[in-house]
Amino acid sequence: MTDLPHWLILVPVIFGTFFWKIIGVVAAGKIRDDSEVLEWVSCVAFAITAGIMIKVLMAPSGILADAPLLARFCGVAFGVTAFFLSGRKIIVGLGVGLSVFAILSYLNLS
Amino acid sequence: MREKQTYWRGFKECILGPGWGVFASMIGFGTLASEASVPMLHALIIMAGLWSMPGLIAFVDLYNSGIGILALVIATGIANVRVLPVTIATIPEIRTSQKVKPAHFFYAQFNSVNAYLGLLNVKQKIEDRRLLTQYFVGFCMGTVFLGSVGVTVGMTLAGSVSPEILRILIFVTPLYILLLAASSRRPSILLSIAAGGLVVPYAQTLSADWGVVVGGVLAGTIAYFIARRWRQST
Repeated sequence: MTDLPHWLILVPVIFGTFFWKIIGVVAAGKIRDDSEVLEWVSCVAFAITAGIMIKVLMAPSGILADAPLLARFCGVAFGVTAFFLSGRKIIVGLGVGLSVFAILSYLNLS
Repeated sequence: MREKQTYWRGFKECILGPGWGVFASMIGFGTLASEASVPMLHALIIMAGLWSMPGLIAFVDLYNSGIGILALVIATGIANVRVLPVTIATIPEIRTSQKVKPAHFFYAQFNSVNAYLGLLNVKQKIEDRRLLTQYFVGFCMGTVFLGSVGVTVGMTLAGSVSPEILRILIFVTPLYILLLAASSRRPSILLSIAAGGLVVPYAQTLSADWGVVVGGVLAGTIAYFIARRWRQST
């Protein structure tokens, strides 16, 4: 696939998301936004999103892979813990997670 | 005249408020895209085309890992499926007739959770549906404007800052999305996040092409049934 030019890949990828918007526009007012089908769809979407984010953070490619695994792991673990301890304040979780990651990356602990 | 004024009011209220969250997260996307050697024009097109952060990060990461195009389209599409409930909730608030019109697809394309919340905030104050729609479109364009500036800044920074700073910029957005997802209070969603975080990375080691899709469907379905059973028993 990587042999294909970027622009040729963009069209089907964009349509893959636009498809949901078409369904949303057509179905608006016909199905409830708290239906069981949408509940299952949301579960799958969040599972995929969380899985990809964990993969990007814990097993990245590129320059992030040069940061020690311990720094990445502690950045996520401390960030998520601070988020829940602060009553789910994103700014607190993000601040703690980034600080821990930056410090451990700087110390280059592995 | 009033329509124009209301449009700019939406644009301004976005830029002076929640638009900055979009700007910051798009800086992270821009640095990731630059790392994956995506040209700036293509990064801006994919930003406007997908217009949902989980799918953007999924696209860059999966594209970089070299998976097949069909798996890339499906995985990115499913990662962005959260646009469906937001669209279903938003369109009835702004349409002026029950008939589906081309403009509705435009509204859906640039809608976001931020724009939907912005719409709900002014719904009581702007009673004229045409003016409310103008406010919504202005708000959406504000997020697109700041998002575009964020991507441009992120891609420019990626080429000019030290690797240590660049790593932190790249670390911001996936952590932000993870925390944003975890801010849901629904047990089914929290279970899905935990199950997806465990199953999807492992499944991807078994199949680079289909691990994300199969692992995500499996993890999400298990989480859905556990949460449903728990809901029925309480």
